[in-house]
Amino acid sequence: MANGRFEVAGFTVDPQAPVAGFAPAGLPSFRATGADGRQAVAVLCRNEHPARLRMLLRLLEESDLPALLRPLAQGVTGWGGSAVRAVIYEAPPGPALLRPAQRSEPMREGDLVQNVVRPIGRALLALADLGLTHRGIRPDNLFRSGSGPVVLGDGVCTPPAFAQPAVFEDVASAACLPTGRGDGTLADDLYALGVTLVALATGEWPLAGRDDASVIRAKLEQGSLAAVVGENRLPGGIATLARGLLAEDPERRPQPAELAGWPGTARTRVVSARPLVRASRTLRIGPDEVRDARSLAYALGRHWQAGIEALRSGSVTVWIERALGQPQLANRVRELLGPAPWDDGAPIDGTLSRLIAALDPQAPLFWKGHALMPDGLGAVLAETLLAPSSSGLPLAALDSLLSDSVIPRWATVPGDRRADPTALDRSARQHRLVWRNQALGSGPERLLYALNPALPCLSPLLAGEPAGTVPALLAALERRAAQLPGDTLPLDRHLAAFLAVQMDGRLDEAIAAVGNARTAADAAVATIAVLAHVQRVHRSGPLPALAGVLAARAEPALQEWREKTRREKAAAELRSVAASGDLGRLYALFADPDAKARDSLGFAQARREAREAAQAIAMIRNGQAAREEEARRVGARIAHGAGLIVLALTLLSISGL
Amino acid sequence: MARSSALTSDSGKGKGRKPQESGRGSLGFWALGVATGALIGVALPTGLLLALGLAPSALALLADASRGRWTARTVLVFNLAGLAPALRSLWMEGHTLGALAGVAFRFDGLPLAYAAAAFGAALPLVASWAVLAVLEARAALQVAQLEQRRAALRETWGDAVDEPASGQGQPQGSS
Repeated sequence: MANGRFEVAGFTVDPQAPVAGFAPAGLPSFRATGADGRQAVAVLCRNEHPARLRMLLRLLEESDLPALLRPLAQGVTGWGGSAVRAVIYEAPPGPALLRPAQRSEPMREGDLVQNVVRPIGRALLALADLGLTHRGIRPDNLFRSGSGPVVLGDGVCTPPAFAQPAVFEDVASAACLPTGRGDGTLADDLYALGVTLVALATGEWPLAGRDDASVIRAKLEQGSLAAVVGENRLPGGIATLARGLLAEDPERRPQPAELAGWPGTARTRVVSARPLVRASRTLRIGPDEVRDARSLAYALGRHWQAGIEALRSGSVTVWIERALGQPQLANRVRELLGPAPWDDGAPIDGTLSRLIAALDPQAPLFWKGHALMPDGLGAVLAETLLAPSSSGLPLAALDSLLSDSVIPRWATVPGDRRADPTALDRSARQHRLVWRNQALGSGPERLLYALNPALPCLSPLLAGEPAGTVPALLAALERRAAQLPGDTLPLDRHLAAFLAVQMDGRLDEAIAAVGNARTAADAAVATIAVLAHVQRVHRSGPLPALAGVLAARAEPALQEWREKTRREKAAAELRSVAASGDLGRLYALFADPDAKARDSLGFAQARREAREAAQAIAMIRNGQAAREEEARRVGARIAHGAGLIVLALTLLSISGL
Repeated sequence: MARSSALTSDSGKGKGRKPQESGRGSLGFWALGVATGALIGVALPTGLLLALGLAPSALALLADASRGRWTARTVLVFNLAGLAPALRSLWMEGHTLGALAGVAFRFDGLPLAYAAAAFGAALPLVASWAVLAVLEARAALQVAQLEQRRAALRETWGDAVDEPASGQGQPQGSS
């Protein structure tokens, strides 16, 4: 399939015609053609970096999206041996404005305002109306035809801000794992626009060639504006705009409506950076020398073990109190640390996480050297489970993050977070329950699908057959049924979790019954129950191949019918019912509840009758002596009666009567 | 203790019943003897004939220790029926000792009374055999009907229907 053309939602994708420089993060993208000859671009997403399905579906519904490259369709297709989600975009109007390593002529102020600021302002305004953020504003994601207005490219094919270099994100977002940045807010898009304007106005990407850590350090030490602009000179209007967009306080950034009419609609504002309190001496945390509380927070978060050692030694508290001169903050840290001693080896990861939140109220959640936003948990989970890497969150850290209620505890620390601690606590409890539950249809797989709705079903049983919805899943199972190994049930942990999530938990008990079945045949019957329910609810067509496989696996369970005639009738009908592909009828052969109840009742009654008959037979056979005694008794009375009659007749006879 | 005393009491009653029954038997025996003696005194030929003729009944009363003495009773009524013609003949022929000698040894005299008594002794045994045969036939019929019902249940529900409760969860195959 990868070598030939394939269909995605009515578009024919040509894998021999790659489209360079369009898709973010190196996602494969190809030329696609609609049924009406419309030219488009197909982007194939990665499962370990799931697409933003909610946003995608919302954008597909909208007909009027100013300055945004419109997604035309989406679907799931097979690619490289697995199922992936594909997004069809309308073809970009021209090339990207500025690529990462590219240098170009700086854009003039008028051009920037007219063709970049205003269109992006309109696009952000439209997204804000839909309650969405873009999280992909950067110079290589802006496309332009000639000297016309730019169009904003993809923002849905990866997790939010996944493809954003650190320089385009504020410190809190840049410090996060690329997968864990979360949806963010409009302020994050405005910040990225500010950096983009600087790049376009200078003709090169700011801080190009520097790694993410040094970019974050530069922003922490110098402030965003100074770090991004550096020694460059910006045109006057753009400098004002960039100062507003790169304001450290998100509330002070200009709103999209202002940008859409810039500069006429600009409101005068005084943007003043908050004074940074610097310490009289530095504190070393790992390789970093820090001079202020915010830098301390990020150093502690990034160099986790060194941070724990610094906490245990007490040097952090002393430094805050004496060198930084913030006794109140030092007391707050002492409160979080609790009573000494801290050198007893007890785990203090949670404490360090909350301490960082106290030091920087805007900081993301730091956990064991990695950072993420709570709403970025789903994509982090996907990366950890599906494509673990040294740069991602390790599984052990993810496990403790979910199991130890780290997120709700972090959220209780006062700060400028947009997350609701109560909602976070509620969702964290649910996540922990699901994560720890090892029943079929639950566990890590369920959390994976629940938090990443864009993921197609990744069951190995499907062998890459595309299944992004329940009907598609049934169709894929039908196609794969004949190739399943002889003793394999067509319901593994991935399939069960996918179905459980897609059916909103309505099938939890039925799916758990498959895992709890005592025998393989019982498990097959329970599987039939699950799939029959799904087939009925989704009004799927006949599934004869799948029904045949299930019938073969479940056949021994027919012996559970007590009544022989019913058992024999069910066995005789099994093949024909399976061939009909109606899983509901197939299930009725095994476990029609009413018939089963009648069968059980009938059997119990028959058993009682048989027992009573056996007891009666034994009683008769053991009653020989009683019968002999009775015979003697009755025989004696009969004889006596006969004697009395004879005597009476004799007396009558001799008396002459 | 109460149980023990109750048992003792039952046992005592049981023990007390035999001498009582034995006493009643002896009383009957002695009553028969006194009646016969009185008859001998009042009506000597009749008394002698009764004494001689009812000797089998006396023996039967002595021998039958069963509850109700039904065999002895049967012997008595047949014995009486067999002796009745001899008594009639004695009274019809003058009721003398001479007539007694003539009547007693005739076929319808003592031989008939003794033969009747013997028949009365055998009849309960024969009757009980007949009754037993009927009861056994009826029991066999009931057993056959019950076995037939069990077989029908096994045919419908399999052999599991007839197995002990531990095998309830494992129904047999359809073969």
